[in-house]
Order: sequence, then C-alpha cells, then structure tokens
Amino acid sequence: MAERYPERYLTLLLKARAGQLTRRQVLSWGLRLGLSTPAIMSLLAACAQPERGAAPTPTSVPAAGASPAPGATPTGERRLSENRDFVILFSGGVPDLDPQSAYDNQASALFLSCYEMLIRLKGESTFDYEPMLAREWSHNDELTEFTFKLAPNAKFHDGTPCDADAVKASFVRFRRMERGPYNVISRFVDNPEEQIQAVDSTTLVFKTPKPEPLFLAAIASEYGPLVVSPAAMEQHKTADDPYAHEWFAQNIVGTGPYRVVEALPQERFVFERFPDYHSEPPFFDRIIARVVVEDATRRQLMESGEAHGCAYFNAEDLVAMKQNPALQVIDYETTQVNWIRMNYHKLNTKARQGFAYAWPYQEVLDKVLLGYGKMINGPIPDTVIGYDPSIPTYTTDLDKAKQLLTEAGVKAGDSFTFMYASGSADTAAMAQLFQANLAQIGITLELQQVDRAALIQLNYGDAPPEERPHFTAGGWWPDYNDSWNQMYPNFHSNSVGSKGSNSSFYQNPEVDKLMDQLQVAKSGDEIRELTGKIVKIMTWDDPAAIFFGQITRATVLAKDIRGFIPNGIYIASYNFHQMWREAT
Amino acid sequence: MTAEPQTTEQRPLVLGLAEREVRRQGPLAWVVAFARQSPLNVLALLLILLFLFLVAFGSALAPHDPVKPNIQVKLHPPSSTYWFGTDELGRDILSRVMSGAKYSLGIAFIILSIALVVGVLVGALAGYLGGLVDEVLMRITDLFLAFPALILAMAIAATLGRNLQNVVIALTAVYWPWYARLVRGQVLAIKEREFVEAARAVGATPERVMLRHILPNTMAPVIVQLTIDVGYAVLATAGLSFLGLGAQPPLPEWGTMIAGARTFFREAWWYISFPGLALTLTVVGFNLLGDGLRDYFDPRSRRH
Repeated sequence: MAERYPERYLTLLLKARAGQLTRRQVLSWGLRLGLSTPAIMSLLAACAQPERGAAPTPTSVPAAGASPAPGATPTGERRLSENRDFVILFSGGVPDLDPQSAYDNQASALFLSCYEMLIRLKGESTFDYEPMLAREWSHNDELTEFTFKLAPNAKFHDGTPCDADAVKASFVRFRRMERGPYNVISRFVDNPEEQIQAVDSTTLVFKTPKPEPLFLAAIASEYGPLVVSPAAMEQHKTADDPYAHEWFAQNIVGTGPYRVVEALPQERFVFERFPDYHSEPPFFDRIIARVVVEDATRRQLMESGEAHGCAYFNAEDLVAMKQNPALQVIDYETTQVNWIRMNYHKLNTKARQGFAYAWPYQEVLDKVLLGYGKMINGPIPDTVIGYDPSIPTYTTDLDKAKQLLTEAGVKAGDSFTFMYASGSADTAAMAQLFQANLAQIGITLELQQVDRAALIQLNYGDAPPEERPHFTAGGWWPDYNDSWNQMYPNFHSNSVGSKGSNSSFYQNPEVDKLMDQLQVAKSGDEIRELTGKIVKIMTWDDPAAIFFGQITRATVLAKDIRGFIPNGIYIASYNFHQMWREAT
Repeated sequence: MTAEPQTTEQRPLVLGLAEREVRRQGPLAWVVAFARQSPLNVLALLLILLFLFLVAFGSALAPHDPVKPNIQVKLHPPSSTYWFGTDELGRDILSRVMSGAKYSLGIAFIILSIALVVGVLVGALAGYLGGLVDEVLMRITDLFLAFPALILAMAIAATLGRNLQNVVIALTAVYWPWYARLVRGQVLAIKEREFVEAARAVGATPERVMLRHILPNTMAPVIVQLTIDVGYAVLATAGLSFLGLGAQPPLPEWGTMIAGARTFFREAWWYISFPGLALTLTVVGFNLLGDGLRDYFDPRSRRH
C-alpha cells in the first residue's frame, strides 16, 4: 500500500528532528521548496497588484499630498497620545559627537535634541529666528554689535549653570579648536577672547570689526555654534587635547531638552527628557535614534510602526510610501545642490566641459529622482541669496561632448573612474546612466562603489589629487543662507583636501579672488553680482563639477506625529521640542 | 581484522572501476548509466547543461542588450516583451541573467581550476615527499585554513581592489588548501599500496609513480569535492559581488544584480527573484551532481 502523503511528511519531519535526513533528501526537498516559492510569490504579487501595468514613475515635482500640512493637526485640537517615545532612523553611524567638530548631517540632526544654539531659524524661514538658549537678541544699526540675552535658569546636563561666561567659553573653544565647521564662526570672529564679551551673567555681546549682515544667520546654523559645557571641558582636557575633543566625541553635555542615556555610535542613541531644561518641556519622554544601514530595512521599520521618523529614503521608496495611509511623507524645498565633482588636476578645461555635456540631466531628474530635484545652473540653488537665474543650464549633447573631449585630447577607449558611496540606489542608477552615455561616444567609465566612510575619508583626507578618482558623487547645502558659505569650503583653493571640502582640488585664481571679495560683500546686489560671476566660471568657463540638480527632500513620519516643520537649511533634522503625537 | 570496508582505500579501486566502465562503454553510455541511477541525477545533469549552455551562448542569445539602459521602461513587470521584467534602468532581466552566467559560473570554474592545480600540486608533494616538505607545506596550508573562508576572501578582495580578477585571487586563496589537504591524505594512503610498491620495484621513476600510479587514483574524492565546490564558489562569487567587492556595474553578475535589486524588492519582485533563482538552481544542480557522483563511486550505495 502506498504511503499516504501526510504520513510521508510526518516521517520526514521526525527524521529531520532526529538528524537522520541525508544530504540528498535535504537537497531534494529544499529544491522543491525553492522552486515553488517564486511561483507562490508570483501568484501573491499578481493578486496584490492588479494595476501594475507600468512602472510608477511620476515625472512632476511631488506634492505634499494628502498628509496634513507641516505642524498642522487634522482635527484642530491637541489630543495627546500616551506613547511618548519618538524613534528616528539614521542611515549610518555618528562617530563624532562633538558638535563643534562634526560636520555631518546626521550628527547635527542628533545634536538638536541635546545641544542648543543661541537662536534657531523660525519655522520654514531661512532669515527669521526664534529663541533657543537666548531669550532675546538685538544688534546695532551698523551690524557690528550683536547682543544676546540668555535664559537665566539655563543649566548644562552636568548640573553646572549655563551663564554668559560659559557660553563665551564654548564659543572660544569652537573658534580656537579649528575643527570641522569652524568657518561658520571664523568668518566673523577672529579673536574670540576680545570680540565676545560677557556683560553680566545673562548678557553676551559679539563685536565684529565690520558690518556683518549674515552674523545672525551663521549663529543660527546647526553646524558648530552649539554650546557645550566648559566645566566638562576643563574636567576632561589633557595636555595633548586642551579642548577635550576626544572626550566630547564620545560624550554629550549640552543644555538641550534631552540628555543622553545611551550612546552607541554605530547602533543607537537614547535620550530622555532633561528635567532642568530652561524652557517648556517637550512632549516626548524619549528620543531614540537607531542606525539602520539598509534602505529596505528602514522602510520596513517605518511601515511596521517600529520607527516614527526617517529622512533618508531614495526617491522610489518615497513615491511608494506616499500610498501608505500609516505614513506621512513631507516634501520640502531645500538649499541642497547635488553635483559630480571633476578632478581638476586630471581633467583639463575642455574635458570637464565635454563631460558636463555627457551627463544625462533630464533622465536623472525625471526617472531617477522622480521629481525630487530640478534643473540648476550651478552650485547656488534658487533658495539661496546670490542665485543668478540668467546663467544657462547644460543639456545633454553627446555630439558636443565628443567634440570637446576630442579637443581635450581624450581618445576613444580611454578609461575614467567614478566613485560613489554604496547603498544609494539613486546614485548608482545615475552613475550607470552616465556610464552608458559615455560608452556611446567610446569612453569607458569604471564605477567604483565604496562605503560611505571610505568615500568621506578620501574626499576630506590628505590624498593628493593624482590618487583620487576622476569623478565623485556628492552634494552640499550651506550652513546658513549664503552663497559664499556654499562655495568657499568646496571650491576655494584654501579648502583643498583636508583643509576643507574641496576634494576635487579645484584651484582657479579668478574664482579665489572673487570669493574673497564675496566674503566681505556689503549689500545684496554686490552678493548677487559676485556670485553670478563665480557661478558662470565654475559652470561654463572652467567647470568645477557637473551641477545636475537642486534637491527636494522628504521626511517620512508616522501618521500620528504632529508639529514637524521642515526647513531648507536644517535639512533632514527635526524640531524635537515642538513635535508631539496625537492620540488615535 | 575488521569486516568494515576501508572506504579511503577502496576509492581508487572504485574510480578504477568507473574509468574502466567509461573506457568500455564510452562517455555517453557512462552518463546514461549515471543518470539512470537516480532521477535527481537527471535533474542535476539538466540544470548543469542548461547553465553551461548559458555560459557559452547566453550573451549571444540574449534578446536585449544586457548592459545598455532604457530608462523609459524601468521596473517593468514580466511581459511578452520582457519575460523576466526590467530593472531600475530598464534593462531586460532575462538578458542579464543569461549573460550573467558566464560571469557567475565562469568565474567559479576559473577559481576552482586554479585552486585544483595549486592544491593538487601542494598536496601531492607534501604527501609523497613527506618529512620537512610535508611539514612546511601543511603549515602554510593551515595558515590559510585558520581564517574563516569568506572573511579571508573579503579581506583579500577589499585589500586588492573591487573587481572580478581580485575575486578570483581571493577565492582561489580560500579554496586551494582544501584540495591540498584532500590530495595529501589520498597520497599518503595510496603510496604504501602494493601496486605502487610494484611500480617502484620494476624501476619506475618517482615522477612516473606519482603521475601514472598515485595521482589518478586520488581523483575520485577530488572530483566529488570539485562538483560540490562549484556551487559554493558561485555563491561566494555572488556574495562578494553582493557586498560590492566583486563585479562592478554594469556587469550582469548575479550577485551584483541581487545587490541592486534589494532596494526595489517590495515594488519589483521579479528583479530579485530571477537572478536569485538562477543562483539557487546552479548551486542545487552542482550539489546534486556531487552527491550523485559520490553515490555512484560508492559501491555501498551503487545500484546495478
């Protein structure tokens, strides 16, 4: 009598439990299971996607959609949730926790929970301010003296008072330590001991030798001017490390609404409410930041409700998540421009012009960024002061590219290298489109995917230009709304290699001269005129990079999160102190 | 005296039997006999034939250009035009899977060929010469075996640079010690046997003894090991490419394709499924072949 199927399976299971299955039996059953799985998946997918006739590739700029406007409540009343944890996701670790050293977007997003600037940008504006550590501020008519009135009851997380002397000591440290974003302060303050004065315990005055219309904007930057505890610095400084940077790189002592309770830089950070916070306590009891490297995992955590906020998704995921009623995808215009840096020492002017014509501009904007970007004519976005709309943009023209490359001495079959960080599906797609365009004119582009940390190390390290690739993918937004601040770290010859962010070693004396003039420009008209001249040179006459898009960003939040206000300067950050969760 | 068969010593005789059968029946008849032993052997042969065919002709027969983007049809689901759908750049996944066989499988063959030559040479010398040579060669072998295989391969590939040539070097460094160990054991067992003594007695040179009498008789377990390792080598190649250490875009290597697809698997199931299926079937095919050969060479499980 033939063995009945259930008995056969039972026998199989018993054998498996007893470890008596042969390798051949395991392979045989594994094969059956493996072959049947795609078929089942196909059937399930076919049932789940009846309208999947064409790829979901909208080409227009995404709208805010059906989600509530930032900060708005759909019901008009505040029904507060009992769940007071807010879990956010990062795409990589935050190895440096020193806010006056880290020049990293994810680090700054983290810092806004536990550190404070004197003032911060108000709402979506890039030139209006609201209180943070300072309750009031003013300046004289000449814009050479700026006075800040501090919160009288402000304390650091270590219990020491945050008075005017402490804030001055923190700014002296920021300026003198000369790490990371220190250009934010060095532009205005060269001698902090003299220029910063603690008038009384709550009054701090900054004096500048010439009018500085952008000083308040710089002081509101989330990169650098955050106040750290001088008592902690004194306690942990060493002879080799007089500013206790090594200690602050691993510890957090600020004045913000949250204090750190767990910091595992490559895994997670946990913050809890600081009971002695000087202003109104925030809604959330805890902020938990988790490091999740995989795009797909971050999306899964958001969709399952395990995480409540994330600003790091590729365009394809953002478009898909807009269909999820459990999420709100909040799009916002930014000051970010993405570009492909061209190695100034390896590529002559005509070659760089030729490559700029070979970039697939429209395909990238329409089909890769899916509308999360628009054409731009240089490094200055239309949201930043100094933008000049009269400068034309490139369009893809392979014939022109070939002609210029031939004139540059590039021969068919020559090979070039393009390096980008692995893990970004968007960048990988752009790189391959560029590679395909170059292949059409007989040029080989070798793609090199490296991990993000390695790319950052190469970009901002001391490697000479000869050891760097021909092209690297990147992007930038200013620390505050100013064209000089956007260009100086990236394209001035003083900023090459580890001295700044000029990783392509762009060195044009005329651009240097104009940038130096721009740094001390006194009026909006002068800023616009100088910026226009620089952008024209860097885009057309002596290209520094392929400027391919001004980026629209999106932050994805759980449906019940309220009070989030995006800001085009504080990109991918959160206004934790204003956010809350609605009871559902 | 034990009644249990000494399998290590029987294998050369079994291979001798198999060789005699191949010579007597011809290779085709031997394949038929092998296939008749089990339906899984038939499946293994069919799968391997299919993928070997793709290695040879996959690129030529691909219906679309496997490399050139056509972004207007990005992430198109399977249809009559694109049987396996398209990827995020609009490239035909069927064409990429077909063309990818020569990278994924071809690289595995190259890796194992080099590993086999190096491993057999080292193992044979160590086993036959013994003494100090054996000690030195085996300690070098132990040095490579002391590291976890994939970690060692990742370290080598990451140090040398990210491309397929370096994957070959990295995985060859991982695989050759296993063959050296295997062959050394076989040589140690065979070199004391009567027929080897007889060969020496009639004045055969050491080279002749090694090449004509010992090495051919070590090949049965090596062939079985080789067939099983092909699957693992394909997986390891794909694994390194998945991690970004192997094939670089736009090469349609299966591991690279799976790495690129993981971002899109929620919206485009076909993108990750078909290269994954190709990888699975290749590994299963070679594993089944390895098992089938082992059973075929083993008189205890052989059916007549």
